[in-house]
Amino acid sequence: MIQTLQRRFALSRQGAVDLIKGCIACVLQDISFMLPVGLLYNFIIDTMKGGVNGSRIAFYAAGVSGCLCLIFIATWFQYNATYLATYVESGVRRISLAEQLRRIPLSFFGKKDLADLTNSIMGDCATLEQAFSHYVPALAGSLISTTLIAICLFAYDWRMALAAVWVLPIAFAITFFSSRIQGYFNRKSVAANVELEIGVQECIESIQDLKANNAEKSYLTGLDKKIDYVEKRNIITELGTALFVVSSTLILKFGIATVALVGSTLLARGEIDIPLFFLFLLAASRLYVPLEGALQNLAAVISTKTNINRMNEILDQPIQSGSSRVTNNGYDIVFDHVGFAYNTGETVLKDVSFTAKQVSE
Amino acid sequence: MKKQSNPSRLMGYAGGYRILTYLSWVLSVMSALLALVPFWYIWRIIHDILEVSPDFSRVGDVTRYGWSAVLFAVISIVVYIAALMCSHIAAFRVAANIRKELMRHIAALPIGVTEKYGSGKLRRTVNSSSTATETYLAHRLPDKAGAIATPIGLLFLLLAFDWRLGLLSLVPVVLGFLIMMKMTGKDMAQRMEQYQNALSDMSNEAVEYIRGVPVVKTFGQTIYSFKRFRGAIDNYEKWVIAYTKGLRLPMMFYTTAINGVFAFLIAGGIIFTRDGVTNELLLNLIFYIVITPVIGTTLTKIMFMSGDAMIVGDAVNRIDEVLNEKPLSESQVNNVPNDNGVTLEHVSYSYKVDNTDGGREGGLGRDGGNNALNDVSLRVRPGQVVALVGASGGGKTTLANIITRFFDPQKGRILIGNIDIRDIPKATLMNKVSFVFQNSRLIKASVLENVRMAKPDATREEIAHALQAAQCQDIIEKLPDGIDTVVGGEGVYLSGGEQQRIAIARAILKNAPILIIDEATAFADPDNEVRIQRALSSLSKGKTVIMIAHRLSSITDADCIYVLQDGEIVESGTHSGLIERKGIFARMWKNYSEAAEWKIGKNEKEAKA
Repeated sequence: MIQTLQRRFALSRQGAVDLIKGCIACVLQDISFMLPVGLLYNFIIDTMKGGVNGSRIAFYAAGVSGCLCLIFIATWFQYNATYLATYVESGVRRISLAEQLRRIPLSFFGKKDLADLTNSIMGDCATLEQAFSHYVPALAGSLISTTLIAICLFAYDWRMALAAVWVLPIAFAITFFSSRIQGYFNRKSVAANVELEIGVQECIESIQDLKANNAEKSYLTGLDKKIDYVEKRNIITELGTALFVVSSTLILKFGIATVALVGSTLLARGEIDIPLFFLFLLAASRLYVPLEGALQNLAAVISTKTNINRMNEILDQPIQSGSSRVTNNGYDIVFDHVGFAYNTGETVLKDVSFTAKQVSE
Repeated sequence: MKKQSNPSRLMGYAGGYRILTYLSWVLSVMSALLALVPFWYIWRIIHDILEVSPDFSRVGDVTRYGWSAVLFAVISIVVYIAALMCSHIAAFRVAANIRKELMRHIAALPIGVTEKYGSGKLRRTVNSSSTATETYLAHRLPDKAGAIATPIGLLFLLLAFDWRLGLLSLVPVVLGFLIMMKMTGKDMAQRMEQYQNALSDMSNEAVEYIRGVPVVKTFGQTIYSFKRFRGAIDNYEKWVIAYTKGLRLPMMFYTTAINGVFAFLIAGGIIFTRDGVTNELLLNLIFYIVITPVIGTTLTKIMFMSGDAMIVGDAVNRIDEVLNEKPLSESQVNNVPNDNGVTLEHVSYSYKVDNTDGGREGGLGRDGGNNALNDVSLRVRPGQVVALVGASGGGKTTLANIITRFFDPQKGRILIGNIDIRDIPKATLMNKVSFVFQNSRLIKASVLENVRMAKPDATREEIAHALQAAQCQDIIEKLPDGIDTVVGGEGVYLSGGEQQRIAIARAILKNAPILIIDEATAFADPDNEVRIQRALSSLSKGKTVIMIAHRLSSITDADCIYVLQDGEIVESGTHSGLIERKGIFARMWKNYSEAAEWKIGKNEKEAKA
């Protein structure tokens, strides 16, 4: 599992372990946020019975301080396990990329624009840094903690629990499907964007020739079409994905409304009592909070796949092999039946053999 | 200089679509407020339940309230989606308009400016900077509008039912903020600055490192450049961790405070019910307990929002930087040169105008503010063939470029047919002058289209004829679709020399009366050399020719040879005249003749043979 994480998120082993720790820390923090519900539930019951006094006050004082302390401590762990751990991992990532870059064959650098390469590497590192410190552990943590708490709710009353919990699997489902849907729409947008980039680059590079032939206006018209096409594809992608990504966040807002609805119905029929109703209202008011926060950044988490693929592309390059000690005998250069073709398939050398002899003293 | 705010700058590009942007803000606010309405219904539900308790058969309206709560939740979602659609459509239009304007502007800039930036940087500005504005307009601004509306709505709700409990709910929030502000004082500001510095250092080192790898690797020195980069990474890590640790305790207190509303509500509840519990108090207590988590989420949303303002500011700056470059002036009068002579009168040009470097290879007068051209005057009569020679960096290319109005000189003027080129419309000027430089580009289109660029209404025969005169037969023969083959397409690769010949065919088709050639094109490879020579001589027939010469043997018949050194004309005359003078040219000629005899051999004796 560690290795799957390593691969999926381009992490070192330590990084993958830290990610798991981070998720667990988030789960614990989320649970610490929910604990006050128990306290509040008791408080409401007591108040309904006539008020709080005497030893009960001590009970609440202890309970309140206990919960606050737990929140305080859980946040400590969560902070360390997410932010601090991520920045350490980020340093590791950058260094291993840098190491890799100096060991891979020069052909990798071939036709690449080096400033682009730098931007994408540094930018990718920064994006992943943010994703792993903020978004990923929060998302995983909230999914787990919310599920755990949801299960607990069923112990009280399955109908009310259902009313509170039905939005969760739907939100999860929308979450998972949206990554597929996004992928589909993204492919076309990305292709359009790449076309545009190529066109812009070509225009800028050829501007001298274009202007010399008074051809720049017609070229720009062609470029305008590409710009318009990108705009169109962006809108379609947005339409396709917005419905999903946004819905998964906002569907959670239904939760408390349905709890109120079902609760009041059941109450009217005498099937549940007030304390239970209020318990679920309390729970529902807090249940969705972690998930809601995490889902807002869902799109960012999904898009890290692009960054990670780019990184893996570099990390997967075979490094040039050879020995670190020079053991050659003299300086004759010998080509021995050498054949070479570029990745594009263009064969440039076919069975080339010759010897360039070293000049003797 | 007064700066417009970013949103208004961006709205300038929106045209009619700016209505959509404003609409998206309105809808976002509406959605945020609508999202609070279900809470009001919940209050009503609790209220009715407590009133009728314990006889729940009387609680009729409550289910209706429940449905209303659900309804408003749905409406709020729908309105939000509408808001996002509006903002996205507008944002995409803005980005498209920015891109179009940037490209048009870039096309109008003097080519010297474009080269100063480099194609990569310009492309990034056109694409990435406009994308940054997209994100800002499409997401951040509507979310900001909503994030401002929610607290206001919340405040209203909190104070409406029981102001005491409402205020109590706000106390931890205020507490949280105060703690944050107190703990992120001067110490943090310093750490923040160190962190930013370390970040930009690391970015710079990254560029240096990656740019250098291809070169450094060849010398086996990568470990040293790597050590430098690694040092910058370690330094960054150190500061980012220091910064993060500094924020830890404040965050802990803040989080506890935000989530600690329950403590205040319990305390408040105990105090207020000391004299007995009223239904009203109970109702409000429950209600506030239910609604207060919303405060936490809203605040956290706002807190994480500020980062993007910087990104957009940066993007807008880059866009402005390009748009502020002055394009070449276009002549208001429609002057047509009456002959094809070229004259330079006391022309001086320096690349170091705005304290910027040239940025191209070849040390063109960029050393310490020297002029690339210094008071150059020359006169080429129509139909003459003139050569420019000199050591590299002497100003030959600059001179050739300035005649085609690559850029405008700081001093002096250039005349074609006795008219200042600044007074000739650009299109007319381009029709008069052809140039064949080293880096002529072919676009990704068919060979036919590439050549036709010079004359849009040319027939296939004319184009085929031009290609033949440019010695391109062998190129066309090996292409799968002949002249309809797309250059740069699948598996079609033309070498530098081959591309050059097609560019010459273009110039032949254009048939402009003045020709500027950089002869270095002839040095592509031996295969191409002869062919390019032939093509060039075919091209030059009957035209006014200015040639940057590298092979002195090819200019023996030039009408005038100008020797350029450090941006000045130091000698001029015919070939024989200059040899007689025994000056700089004579020396160059001698060296050239000797060099032509050089060979690589096993030892000095063999080489000299």
